[in-house]
Amino acid sequence: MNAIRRETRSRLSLLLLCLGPFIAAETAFGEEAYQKASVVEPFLEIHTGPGRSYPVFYVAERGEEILLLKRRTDWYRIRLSNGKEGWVNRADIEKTLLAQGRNKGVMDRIYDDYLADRLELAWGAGTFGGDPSLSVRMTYLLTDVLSLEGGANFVSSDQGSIDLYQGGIVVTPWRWRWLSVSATVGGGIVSATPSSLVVGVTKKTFQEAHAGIGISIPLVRNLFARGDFRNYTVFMSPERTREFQEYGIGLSFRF
Amino acid sequence: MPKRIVLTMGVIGFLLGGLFSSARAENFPQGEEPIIKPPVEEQKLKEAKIDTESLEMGPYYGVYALDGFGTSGVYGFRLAYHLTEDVFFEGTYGITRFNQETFRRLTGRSLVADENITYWNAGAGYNLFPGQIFPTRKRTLNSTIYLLGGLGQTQIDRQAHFTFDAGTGYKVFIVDWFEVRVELRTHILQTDLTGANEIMKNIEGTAAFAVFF
Repeated sequence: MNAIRRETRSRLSLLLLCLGPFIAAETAFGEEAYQKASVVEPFLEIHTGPGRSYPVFYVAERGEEILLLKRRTDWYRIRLSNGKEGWVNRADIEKTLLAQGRNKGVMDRIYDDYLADRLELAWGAGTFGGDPSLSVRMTYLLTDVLSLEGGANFVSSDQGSIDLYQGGIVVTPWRWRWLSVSATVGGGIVSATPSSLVVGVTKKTFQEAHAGIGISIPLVRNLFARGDFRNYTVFMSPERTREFQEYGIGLSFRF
Repeated sequence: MPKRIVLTMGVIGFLLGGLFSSARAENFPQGEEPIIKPPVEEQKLKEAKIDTESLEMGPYYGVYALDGFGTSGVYGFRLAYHLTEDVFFEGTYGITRFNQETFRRLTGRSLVADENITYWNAGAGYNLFPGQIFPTRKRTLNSTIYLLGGLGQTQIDRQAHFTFDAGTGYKVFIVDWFEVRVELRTHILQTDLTGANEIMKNIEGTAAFAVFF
């Protein structure tokens, strides 16, 4: 019994140890660390949670001082001078946020901000040589036209599974506001693990070279929809190559 | 005939109404300073300095029932990115075990050489019913019921299988950056473990906590 209690206690202390930095981070910052603003809107509805379905429990008036504690999606956690804390929607507090003189819509500003971001993380699904394939890719935008890319594909089939690790250069010559078209070339390694039902074949690794085209359409904020086509040439042996086509659709985020 | 009279009167009334309202608009003094002038102060607010909490991560623990075989414990880790108050994207990585005790007892041999099962998946979630719970008279906690769906792979006996994921869960926020949840998920995959291709529907029930940062 004592042993159980001791174990429980040690587990609890481990949990506290894990959570410690977060608790400390939450309390370490003083009032000065927060951004201050005075409400410009005629009134400001304060919700109990960061979502429209959480009820309004307080209404702040114009001129009231607020501290902006943090932001989650479209919601800001604020603290009033009377100590009350709650969440306000970005659209409701837009005028206060823009009172610094910028005359630009909230969505516009966010869109432009994300266009300036350099790192793109993509995730997609499709087919690789006719078999279901999942892909993860990371792209770093060197310039508006040139990017570097690294990623992996995971293909599962009846014959076994294929893991593909690749890197490449992406050129995006056409970048409009609502669509960008890019071309890519690169290479990598293909690791094929045959199914246990396929007798006499062991795990093998090959090299590959690929070329492809892709499109990207901005959906909302930093989220983009993308479509890809790639042609892979896998070097099976010095004399023999095999071609695979990948079609994929997915989502990407800019950070 | 009376229909036409009513119609004509209606049109005249509409035109007169328009005339009067435009006359009223002209009567309004233009170019003058508004009487009430809201005091708009110049503020220096740097949005970039506001801490953004869009990521959520944490471990989970539960049970994983391998369709047709035994049930084992499962543990894993999750990372989520919240795009809007409704939509989030989530990736998970979990580790469980192939429970072949029954199979071994019945047949006297093992089915798989490697009993470790790992899986990963990435997908989207939707906060279906955000709301509140009232555990005590004075305490109110935010909660949400969410739906999940995703794609990934499950590695059974060193063999990766394409996997669909779907599930639902219930999340309660203890404080706004710390939550606990329970989740029920099904992993749908095709395997050839028994010598023929068949669809497996593996049910997983987990409990978890997570922090926003």
